[in-house]
Amino acid sequence: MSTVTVEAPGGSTTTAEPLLSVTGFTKRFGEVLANSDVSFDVRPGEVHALIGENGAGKSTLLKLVYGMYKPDSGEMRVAGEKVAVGSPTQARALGIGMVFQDLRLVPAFTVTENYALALARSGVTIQARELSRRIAAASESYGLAVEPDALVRHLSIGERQRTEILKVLMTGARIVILDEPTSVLAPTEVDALFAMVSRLRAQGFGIVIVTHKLAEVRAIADRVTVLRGGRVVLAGTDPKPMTDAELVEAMVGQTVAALPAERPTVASEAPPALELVGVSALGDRGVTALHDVTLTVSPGEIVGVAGVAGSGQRELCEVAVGARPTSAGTVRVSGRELGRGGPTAGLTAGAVDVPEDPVNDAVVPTLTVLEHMALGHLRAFLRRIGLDWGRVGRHTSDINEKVQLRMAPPHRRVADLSGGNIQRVMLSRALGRDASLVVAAYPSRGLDIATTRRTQELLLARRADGAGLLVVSEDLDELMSVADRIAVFCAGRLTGVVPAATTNRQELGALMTGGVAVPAATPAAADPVPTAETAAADGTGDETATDAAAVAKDAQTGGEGS
Amino acid sequence: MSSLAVDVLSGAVVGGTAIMFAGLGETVSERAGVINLGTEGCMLGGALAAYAATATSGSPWVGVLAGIGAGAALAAVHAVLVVARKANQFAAGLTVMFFALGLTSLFGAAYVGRQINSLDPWDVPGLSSIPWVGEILFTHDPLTYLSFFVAPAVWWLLYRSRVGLLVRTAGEHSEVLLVHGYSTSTVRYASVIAGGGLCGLGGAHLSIAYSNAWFENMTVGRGFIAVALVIFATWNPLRVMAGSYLFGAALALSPALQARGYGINQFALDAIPFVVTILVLAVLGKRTLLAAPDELRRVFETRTA
Amino acid sequence: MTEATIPAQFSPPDAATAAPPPASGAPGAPGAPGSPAAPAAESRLAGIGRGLGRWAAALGAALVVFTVLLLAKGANPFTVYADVWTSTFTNTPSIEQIFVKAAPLLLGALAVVVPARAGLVNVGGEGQIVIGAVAAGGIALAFDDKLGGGLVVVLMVVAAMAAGAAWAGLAALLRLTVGINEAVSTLLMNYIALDILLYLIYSPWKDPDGTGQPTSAELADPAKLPYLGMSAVHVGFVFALIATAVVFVLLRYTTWGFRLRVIGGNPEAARRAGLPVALLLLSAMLVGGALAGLAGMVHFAGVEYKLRTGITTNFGYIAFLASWLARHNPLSVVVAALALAAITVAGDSLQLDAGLPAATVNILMGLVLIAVLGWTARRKSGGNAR
Repeated sequence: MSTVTVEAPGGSTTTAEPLLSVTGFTKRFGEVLANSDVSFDVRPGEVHALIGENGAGKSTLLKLVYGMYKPDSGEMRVAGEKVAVGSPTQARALGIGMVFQDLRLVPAFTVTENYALALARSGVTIQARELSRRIAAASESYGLAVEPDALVRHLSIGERQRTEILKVLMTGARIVILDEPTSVLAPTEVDALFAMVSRLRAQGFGIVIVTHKLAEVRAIADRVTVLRGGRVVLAGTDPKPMTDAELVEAMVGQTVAALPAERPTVASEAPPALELVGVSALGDRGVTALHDVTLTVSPGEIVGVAGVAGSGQRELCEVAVGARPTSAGTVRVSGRELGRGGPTAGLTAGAVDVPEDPVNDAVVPTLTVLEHMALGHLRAFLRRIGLDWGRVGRHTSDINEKVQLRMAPPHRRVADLSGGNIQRVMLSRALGRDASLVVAAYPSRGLDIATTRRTQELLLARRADGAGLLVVSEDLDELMSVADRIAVFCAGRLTGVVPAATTNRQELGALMTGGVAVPAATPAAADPVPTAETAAADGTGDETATDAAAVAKDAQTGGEGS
Repeated sequence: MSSLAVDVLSGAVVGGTAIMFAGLGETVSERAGVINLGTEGCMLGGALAAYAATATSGSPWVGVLAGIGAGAALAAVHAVLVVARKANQFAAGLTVMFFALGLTSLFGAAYVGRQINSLDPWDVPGLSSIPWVGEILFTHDPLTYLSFFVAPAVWWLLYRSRVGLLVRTAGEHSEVLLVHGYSTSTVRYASVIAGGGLCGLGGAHLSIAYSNAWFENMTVGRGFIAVALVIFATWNPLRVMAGSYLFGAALALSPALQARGYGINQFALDAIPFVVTILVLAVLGKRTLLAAPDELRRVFETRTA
Repeated sequence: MTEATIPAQFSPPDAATAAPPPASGAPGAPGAPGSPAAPAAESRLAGIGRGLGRWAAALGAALVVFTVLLLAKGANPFTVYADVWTSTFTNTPSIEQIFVKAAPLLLGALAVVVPARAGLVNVGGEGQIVIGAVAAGGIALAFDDKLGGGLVVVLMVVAAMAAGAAWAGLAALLRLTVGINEAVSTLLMNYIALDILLYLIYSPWKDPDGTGQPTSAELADPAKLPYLGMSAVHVGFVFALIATAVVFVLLRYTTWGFRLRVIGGNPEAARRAGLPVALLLLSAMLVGGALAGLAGMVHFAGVEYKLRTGITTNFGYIAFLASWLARHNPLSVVVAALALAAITVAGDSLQLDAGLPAATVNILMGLVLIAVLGWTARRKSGGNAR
């Protein structure tokens, strides 16, 4: 996800005895075989990447190693000794430390109090002063800057991650497992993280890093293991000589068709799908989270939104559909000013959304899929008394036919659906209708590669129909391949709007961290249509853009890979 | 004859004590993420147990222990329902309240009108002769003096001790406890039961130190006031202490005025503590909920599942 | 988080046909949710059987504990049960009493059911019942000997429902404007309502001819609810049954009911779907309060005829428990209300036959609830299918 410059010590794959080795782990949940005969090991002083799609069994494997699940069969050795890990506490005692993706820190506590939960195991008080001295000392010796007295709530994601890693080290971990550590970081923060990881490697720690970003695998990992469908399909291989196509194929088990390169310009007389003029808005904690944003999405245009997590994307999406009041400025959807009308005004004006956090913001667990389809467009199904459920049913099957996202059956309660299946409901609902504005936050979250592809096709199809789309993603490759223009946010401000076809990671990265502001570009209709040629040409400046997008470019332009 | 202000304030201190103990207990429970509407029941149970044990043993201190035990036992029922069985916290609490109401009327009938050796006021030598302050603070029963220490002690336990850290973690982000090898259930059981013990102590103060009598449903809503008090004290034991004196004052106003022959309707005065509670909550508004422990806030937000 | 990056411009796409699903049956794979509906009926029957079994076990356990407590009190549980059984269930007046008590309980329970559908906890039934009775009493004092029978009863019903709705609506407004949790505010308002009643019957409305405990003057005959046929059951029970049917239809078949269910499940989702959340919450609470107010009127004009200190005898709280017992299902509430009414009547027999305080039955009620809350149907969500 970034221009990673960290060098892996060449050929550092030592032959030392593994710190941790797992042989033949099998774990079954009901009918689902989550892990099947999985073997995996980490040696001292190496970084071992674990990659795979959603549901490939990565988290199950991590939880087995960390003692949160018990394997049905298989054995585990730590430093050669056979062990049975029954709980995270035992795992920690064996020197296994885990940095969870959603960082298990209590926001209301200080750093010291959080550390006390892990480190102060007895005694009446937590001896905060003594502990904070120890933290300061460890912070110095590992080179990880951590402020013991800060409230975790006030730390950035990157700082929290650092805090969590230092905590894990202080509990005596020799094996550090990082679960998708980069998914929430800005490119520069990723560089800092990898520098930190390299230092730990040099100090002899064994590091497992779970990721799905191929550039990172190559940048940091000495070995890579790929899981698919609960099985190891590629075991402990040096990723350097592998092409990304090989890695993707290992993950997916098939080649995935590319998005069409041709993007016809959509001519439309309609007013802009979305028009924000000088919009500011408060975040949930009452602090201004969106500052003076002016942005236009034309009909037949996809505007991507990039930024470090928490840069105002959530507020932007909510403001665009009327779900969050503005503190200044005007919002127009298809020429109609939303004003104080709230979500109703947004819906009436023709805006639909795929929310960032469906479980909290859009899903009613007790209702069925069918009822959610009705809820998305209640007014259309009203009868004299109650709702016309027959019509909702027909509408739902029409949508299913049209979007082909294999949504769960209509009678299923949403509470029983997995995250990926909930996302399918959200996507079907938003993309199956004729809306003039589609606001999609992280549309491919929780989806497998094939469905992600289908979703992107649907976004493009809506574009072709003349809808304006605002698409938020943390995946710059996705944005660069789907969007016409990319709006970049930093700390709630729009730092630039760049044409997707001619931008690159450096430029986006700089804007994401508040670098050079680029004046807002003209509406998309005037922008050049992105083509494979221009995209590939831009890729040349980016040596380490070694992930899928680059491979695709290589394949099309006959390049020889990086 | 002492001034009205001194009367009311002195009455506030002694009258607020029962609510303070209950409020402190509820604070501990809620800090761990469990709201206990059974507080009312725990107080009733504590009041009767203390009264009965005092009557039987002749020692009010045995009564105090019995009160604590009864409150803890009733809270344990709540804990089982909500922690182990994941029942709705509001419904479970009211059920416990009901259960306690029935139990105390069944077993309490025999004690109505019985005389006991109560905890009598004891003037603190020296301090009680300080003008105004002495009369307000140092002419009370021993449990009231105890409350002066219990509130800061609860604060210290929650914010400075290791156990308190675990309790607060259970209320903020219980998953973190799990990750660090602690059991959320154990922490919550302990907090709810300990909180119930404090409520029982509050009940004991009511029956063997404040009213020196037992009658059916003698707490008349004090437990519910304690629950509200904890919210507007933003889950801080020291503010609970201050708030309970506010209620004590509201309670003391009625007898103090009547003693001076003001013809104010008694029932209007009886309603004052409840009206005051609602007014204070209204004035503080939504800010209070923002200060709630995260997991407790979720209890408030999703309720009828 | 996005698990996999989609390569941007791969080889030409296979048109619009969706790619085949991944080979494995991994969790979250699209094939998983499609379980067929056929075996649903069978498992549903089995589920009902299991549910009944658990219920029986829960009730049995509650009875066992109650027996132990009676023993501890020195009463012979078997004579107590036998006496209570004969005096509660084997004579017509007692059985009629069950229906008489079930009327306000059923209405009070519906007052919990409706707000619960929107995720609100109305613990204020007690206060709303009192206020309903007070309003009916006020109308009666002013008009019961001036207007025709039918008209005064109608006026009393309207006033009681309006007053109950207002009392509950106040709690809803407090929640919507200043964020006071309604479980807390309705509880506190119960005590205020009681103090209002006491104030009225101790001074302005006090029956000058009354002796002993102060009460209001007795209702004039036209304002008393008529009996059903030759029985001692007044028409209040019919009111309650009609209310149940109306609530059932409202919740199940109207858009309003659907919208309340959305809010109950996730208020934020409701807001984003453009529902007027504040208005809907207020309406749910108003309807609940009106039902509780009606309960107060029915009990007052059907049984008590005078406002007095202990007029509600905890009906509001018992009704709250009835609603939970029935898991907020408007039809099950009828059964729950009758069951709890029977226990209440048994409590009166207990007092007469065994010399135990009437409130003793609260133990049994508490135990039943504890057993039901803890040991039956432990599903996390109560929303039944449409």
